[in-house]
Amino acid sequence: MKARINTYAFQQTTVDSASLGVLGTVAHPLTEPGDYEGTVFKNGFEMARFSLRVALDAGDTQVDIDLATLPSSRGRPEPCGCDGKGSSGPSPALKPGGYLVLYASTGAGGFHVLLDKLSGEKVKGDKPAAVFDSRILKKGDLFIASLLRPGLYEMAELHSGAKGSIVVAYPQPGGKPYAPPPPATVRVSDKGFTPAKLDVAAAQGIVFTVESGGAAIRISLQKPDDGPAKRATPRGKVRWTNPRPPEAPSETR
Amino acid sequence: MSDFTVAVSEKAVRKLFETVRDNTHESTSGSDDLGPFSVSWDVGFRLENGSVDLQSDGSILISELDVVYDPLKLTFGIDIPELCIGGFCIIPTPFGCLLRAPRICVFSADPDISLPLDLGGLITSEISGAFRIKTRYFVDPGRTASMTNLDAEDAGVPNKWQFLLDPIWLDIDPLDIADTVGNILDQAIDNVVDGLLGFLPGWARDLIKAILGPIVDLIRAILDIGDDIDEWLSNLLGVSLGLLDFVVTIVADYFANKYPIFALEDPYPILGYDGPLIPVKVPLRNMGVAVSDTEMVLAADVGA
Repeated sequence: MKARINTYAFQQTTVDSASLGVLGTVAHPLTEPGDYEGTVFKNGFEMARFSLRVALDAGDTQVDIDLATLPSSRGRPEPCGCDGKGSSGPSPALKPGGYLVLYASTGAGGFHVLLDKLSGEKVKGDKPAAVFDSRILKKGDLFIASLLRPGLYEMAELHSGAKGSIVVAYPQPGGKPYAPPPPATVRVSDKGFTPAKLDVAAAQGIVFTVESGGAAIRISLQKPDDGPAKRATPRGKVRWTNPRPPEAPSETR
Repeated sequence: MSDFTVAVSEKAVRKLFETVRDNTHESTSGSDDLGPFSVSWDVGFRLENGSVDLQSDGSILISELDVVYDPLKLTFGIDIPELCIGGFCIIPTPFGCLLRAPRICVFSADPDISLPLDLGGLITSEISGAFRIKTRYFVDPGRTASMTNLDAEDAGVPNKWQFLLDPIWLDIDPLDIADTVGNILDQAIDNVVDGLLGFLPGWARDLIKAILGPIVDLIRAILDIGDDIDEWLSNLLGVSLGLLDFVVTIVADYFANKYPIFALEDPYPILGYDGPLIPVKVPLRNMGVAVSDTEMVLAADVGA
């Protein structure tokens, strides 16, 4: 018997759009046709690359990139930066207006991605233009978090300083299999989070829709909820009392 | 008229049968893939009780002979469904979902969870049957060709006339399953799941259990137990594992071939050693058995 348990999912108590782990996902819309190359960084170090094509003839409305399972680009020759060659694997194709979805299925996380457009505008000589930095969410981007650990969380937008709170309810094993409710939506704008207070269930999705550019969202556990206190099983101490012997009748004369 | 006759009372036949009964025990093990789950087993049985009635038609009726299954160890291999989060639709459209969250799997078991179930002594069944006495001339394999009858007796390997219970028919009743088996199964499931998730914090165990649903119900559903565990277990052991066939075959074989209820030496000793005199032994021929409702009579001729 061998159980595979994604322990990172249970250990993560901070979900950060600028440092993606198993509980956080960034979705970025791509409208401009062309070839793109993503560079994946883990804890600030380049780990892998992927290429992507946005084309009118593509059928997919989303391309999922699992940052944790991309083949490492370390030791590989530098890609020329002109046609996507040197990137890992074949290029998936995305319909214009579709979403590039960045997530990590396992591991400790710490990912961010720089996305370059290879066949479009060029800046600084041969260097392609960086069209997206996952650490700085743009208007129209989505950040999706799924919180497992019950408790009180703080949600913060790091650039504006806006804050809010999320309460994740403790799961109650019941008579039927538990299915998380549909995802909750939080708008992120210059005014902060709307709503600023959110009650969700464990494993329920929270979709942050970015309505103004330059956002970075961090959710961190403030007060864990360990559920109803487990009552200590009373020790079965039983006292036996010797019944007092009946008093002997007093002698009277 | 036979030269040699031995009458055995019904009470004595019962005593002789008890020896055979107590010698009858067998075990088997194996495994099988039953589709949604696999099962391996280590099963043995012994016989207890039983009544013996001599019949006027020359048969012997044995009834209410208890088959006690011990050991009875079953181990089920069960696939627990993968448990994933995410996968929900973020941007629904009239034409389907435009954007869907990735699925992150937080728990899976590979290949199975293993669910041991020890039901030794908790399951019984009853055998009844009618038997005829079969006689068999037995030459002990330990006896060498050069041995005389006297040598064979001295060496403890004399030839024998054996009397065995040859089944006419055998009935085995459905399994009788103790009421506690359901509780034992539920407890075993809880123990396995707690062991599997034991290293996780309590909230994570509660979350997994909540998503999986009542784990006992889930595993009962995978095992296809339904409402009646007795019927399920009876079907599993009796039909899928062929336990009842196994028991009947073994009992028939043990009674008819392995353990005689009675044996007579041949030649039969009349007088033992007496000083310088060697024992007196008479050869028995044309051995026959007759059973009436009161006794079993063995008759033979004294031959050359």
